[in-house]
Amino acid sequence: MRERERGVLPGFGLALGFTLAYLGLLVFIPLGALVLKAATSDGGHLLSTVLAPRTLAAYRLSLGTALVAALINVLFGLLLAWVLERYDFPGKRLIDGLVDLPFALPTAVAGIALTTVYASNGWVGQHLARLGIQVSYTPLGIIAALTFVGLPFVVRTVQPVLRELPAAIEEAAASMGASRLQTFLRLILPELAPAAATGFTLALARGLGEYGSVIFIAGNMPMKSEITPLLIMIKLEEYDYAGATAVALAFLLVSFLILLLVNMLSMRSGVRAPAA
Amino acid sequence: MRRFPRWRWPRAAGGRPRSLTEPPLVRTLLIGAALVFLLLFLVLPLLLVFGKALSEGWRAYLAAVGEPVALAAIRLTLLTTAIVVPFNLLFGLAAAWSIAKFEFRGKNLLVTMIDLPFSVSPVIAGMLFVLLFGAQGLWGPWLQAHGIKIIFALPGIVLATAFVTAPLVARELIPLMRSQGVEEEEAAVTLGAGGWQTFFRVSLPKIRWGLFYGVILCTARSVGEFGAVSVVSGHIRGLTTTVPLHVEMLYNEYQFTAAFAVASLLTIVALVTLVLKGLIEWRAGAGEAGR
Amino acid sequence: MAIVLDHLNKCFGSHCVVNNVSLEVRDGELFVLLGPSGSGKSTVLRMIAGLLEIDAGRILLHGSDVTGVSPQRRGVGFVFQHYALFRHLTVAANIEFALRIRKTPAAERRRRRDELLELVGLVGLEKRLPHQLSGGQQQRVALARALAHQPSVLLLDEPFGALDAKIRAELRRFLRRIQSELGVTTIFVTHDQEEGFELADRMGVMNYGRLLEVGPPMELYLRPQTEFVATFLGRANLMVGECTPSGVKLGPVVLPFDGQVTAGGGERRVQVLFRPEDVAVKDSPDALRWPLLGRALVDEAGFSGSIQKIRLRLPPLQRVRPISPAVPFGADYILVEATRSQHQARQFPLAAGDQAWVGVRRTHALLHPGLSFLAVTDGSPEGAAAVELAGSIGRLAHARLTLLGLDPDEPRMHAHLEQLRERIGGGPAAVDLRSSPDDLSETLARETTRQPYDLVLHALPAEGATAAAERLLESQEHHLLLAPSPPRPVPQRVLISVAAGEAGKYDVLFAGRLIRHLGAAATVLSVAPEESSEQWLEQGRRFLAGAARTLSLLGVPERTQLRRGRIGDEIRRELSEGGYDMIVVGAPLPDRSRRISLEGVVGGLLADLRDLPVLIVRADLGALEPDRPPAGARAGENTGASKTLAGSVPPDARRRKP
Repeated sequence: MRERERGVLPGFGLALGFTLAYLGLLVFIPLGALVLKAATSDGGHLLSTVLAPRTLAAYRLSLGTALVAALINVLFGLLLAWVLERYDFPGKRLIDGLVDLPFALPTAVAGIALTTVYASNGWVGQHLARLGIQVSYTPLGIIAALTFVGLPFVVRTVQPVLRELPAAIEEAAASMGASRLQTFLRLILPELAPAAATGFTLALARGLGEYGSVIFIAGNMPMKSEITPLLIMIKLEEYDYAGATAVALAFLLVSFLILLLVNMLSMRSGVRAPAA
Repeated sequence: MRRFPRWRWPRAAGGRPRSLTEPPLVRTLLIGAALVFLLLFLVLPLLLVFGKALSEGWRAYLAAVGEPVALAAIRLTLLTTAIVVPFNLLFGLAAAWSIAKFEFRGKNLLVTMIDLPFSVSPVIAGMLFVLLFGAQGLWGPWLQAHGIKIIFALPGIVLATAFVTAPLVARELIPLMRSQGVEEEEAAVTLGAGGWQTFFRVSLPKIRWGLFYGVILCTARSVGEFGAVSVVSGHIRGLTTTVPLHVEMLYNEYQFTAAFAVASLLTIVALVTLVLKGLIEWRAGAGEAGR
Repeated sequence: MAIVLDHLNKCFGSHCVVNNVSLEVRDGELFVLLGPSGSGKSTVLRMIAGLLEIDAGRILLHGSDVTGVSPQRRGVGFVFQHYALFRHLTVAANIEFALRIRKTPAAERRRRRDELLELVGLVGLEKRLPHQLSGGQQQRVALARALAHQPSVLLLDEPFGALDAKIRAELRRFLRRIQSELGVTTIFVTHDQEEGFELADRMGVMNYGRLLEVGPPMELYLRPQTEFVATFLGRANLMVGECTPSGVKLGPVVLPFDGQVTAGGGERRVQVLFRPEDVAVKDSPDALRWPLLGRALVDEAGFSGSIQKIRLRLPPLQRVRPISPAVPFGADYILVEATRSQHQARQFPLAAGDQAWVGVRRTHALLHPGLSFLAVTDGSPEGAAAVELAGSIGRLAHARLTLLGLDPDEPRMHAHLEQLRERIGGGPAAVDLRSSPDDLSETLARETTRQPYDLVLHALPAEGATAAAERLLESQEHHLLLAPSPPRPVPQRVLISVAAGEAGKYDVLFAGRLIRHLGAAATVLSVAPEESSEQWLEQGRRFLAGAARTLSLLGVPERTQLRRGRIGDEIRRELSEGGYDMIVVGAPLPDRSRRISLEGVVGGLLADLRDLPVLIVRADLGALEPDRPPAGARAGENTGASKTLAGSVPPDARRRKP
């Protein structure tokens, strides 16, 4: 271990000072304003807003759809990472590059495009409609949008781990007579699990707060397909700042708690997973 | 008749021996499943944007893109981006420099704090600034008395965009700088280089590709930011509508072709971002030069 | 003097990586700083370059004090282990870097660059980027870059560490040539003793942050002063014998020796060093023209290029304790290493299992440091009891003894310590006094850092014994003996309670080394859980048999006992049945933050053992490996095994599932 010391390299004070000042002005003071607003508002009003059926329905919908989308992303993220790392096929590089599209594509564009593709007269939606499945303007549509938005996270966290996984592990397993499925389930999957959990958390966090891609496809029916960020938006448009603050603060707390929980769980599994 | 290329099973990457990969059929099925998933969620929406944009021909496309309100939106978006990106670039450099090259207490906390904007919904991010600067906000009355407009104006849009995209450059640079260690900087110091000389001659060139990518990503996200800007913009057509907001308005007014035409501009920005990312990775991988 | 280091110190928290290092390097000299990894040698180098601040001490370069001078203005050349070439710059730009910083005119810069390229033999490669060069070429560039600004001293930090053997050898010759051509004062840091021998005008050996010895390579190899240097520089046969006026007595033979050991009054224990090449192996005692060690069994005879390496087993010798090569646990013989030329090997072929006569051509004796104890007192009767126990064991072991008094009133404490010293008398090798007004942890950390101790003695605290013991084991490397009060006579029956496993082997070894001085008898106890398998018990029995052999080799009368049941209960039962007057237990391995937790069995015992001295032996797995590096170079940190106390679980059951 090499000890890094302050003093030899310059600019520590300047760099840290600027970092903290920027964070303070841009992030901490505004977040402080949120807490201040909640603290100075009428407590009864806040509570009744948070506990209103419409708010609770929005929370439920946001959490539920984000969770399902993140799980879908874990499954297909592992699959994509595996396919991209382990196999050669034509167009692989192109597809690898395309995985990042949701990071770069504005959410509004994604929103209107997905809505049109999955609308009952859309390219995919018309086939689904014949099977009696409606995607656009239902919670299914929200899940589709959140799946799109969270797609790169699991792929990009799992890929490097899969790449660095020493081939000797699999060679050893093969030499001891393990089948490919056994090798994958008993050796490879546990190695990938912490990374996949991290990707899951990131996708979940993104999904909980997502707005742009969802509002077009969701239908936005109160109690049915109205997500929390939209509810906050509506409160703001009605100049109900206190109500918006209440909904937002409670939502932030709940999502932080969930993320903390997931982080702790994955950290635990991360400690358990490595062999040595 | 044209002959199709002969079917070949997909190969295992890196010349892995048969014992270390799956049977050809399994490989094909897995690849197929992955491709179908990507087709449904990525490729079709992407194609649809351009399909719809050009569904009424080039003339309609150019008209939608060239109308004055659209041009105003593009100008506003470019201006916002031009302000936000340099600030976030400086922030990313400063944060990565202090975190990767020095040890101090509370470092891990700082790293978490830098990521904080990512876990705050864009709508809430926008709302924070409304609470501070809005008419009923904390400093609203004072600002109004002095005739300063932040919400429903450019400063608000800039602040909201900066908040949402703040971590991007920093996140790109921190792991990169960490992995590079401090040996080259120490070598420069023993050779007599001062602080800024070390930074500009040694540290900065080492991270140039990572920095470049961070800036591109930050630019793309600034251009496309929707939720946070939507809250603070006020949707004043031609004045405070950025390109994504303009798309939303067109779409909500059932001008689908125009909406997709403008959206296709944003999509092109996104695709250029991806291409540049690929180029950077290829460039950085070709020599060690970049990383 | 080109470089003067004056009492350099550097600590990170309580861990001191550089400890009072003083050194003078002469003008134009190539000085090699040698030591195992983590010994602090690189830290010293970085401090000279100014890359690391120092806590205390001074650094002088060519007579001027540079202690507070920034690295930019020290004008040293530094070569890093991983080259640290600027990856984005060409070879030429790398070499010119320092000149550009100094705004040297372009023409002058080019001239100097071409000169250096020629010097390091890289003409024609100046347009390349570092990653287009081989490792050896990159290191040549790094060297040229470090020389460009004509530094007053050149510092190289394991520069060839990442290269393969052949290129290393080539670069060594290359460096030697360039260094003597330029005459630049150079410090070269390495952990490779062969590299050190080949390069050095003079060398210094470091371990645990201390600079142990300095001298020409040949001198350090042939006549080391310390056990560490003897075993670190090359292979060594090292055993403890006695010094007599006629020579060094090793068992039945008296060997003539070269060295400075002066027999000062009566018998002295000495460490006898003879190198493998000094061992003569013949087929009959008459053929040996050298002092005869005895008839040995060939353990191993292996081909290794130009020489043959032989390992021989000698029967145990009276009053001889082998240090190196380490004897496997449970063996009752002495191992000797020998090397022969292939010519000799052909004349008298040997294979494992053959018998041969062993003689010694040349020996060197170093003063045996013996054991050193630190007894801590706060002036209370309990503290005095601890000092008294230290005195009586120290007398028998001829140990060096330091009495450490903790009292805000230092003069009073000093007087008290003087009294205690008088009561102890002249038995120990030396008795030093120290007093401190600070608290225990701080003082202990400082004192054990200043000088290593084998054993710290402290009163058995009436309350909170576990926490106190943990604190006493916090710093450095010593073991801990907790003394009851009022004082007891010297222990005669000792119970050694250990786990059957690698760590337990060391516990037995250290306990044996101490007990042999007391003339006490030992019982080794291992406790198996009630439900343990027959296999487990068999393993325990094998371990105990080994322990018995090890103790008998040390001359300690021994008995073994294997019990089944709950471990704490069984120890107490054995204590009450056996009439013991001292107990030895092993401490668990420290956790990642170097903390040793005594919760569990030791804690349980400490809570209710009021009238027995308790010896807590710190785990040292490294000491048991057959080819352990140097004595004292504790490998415990990088062994993954965990040690539970006194046989709670067999080692196999503890191993984690893959």
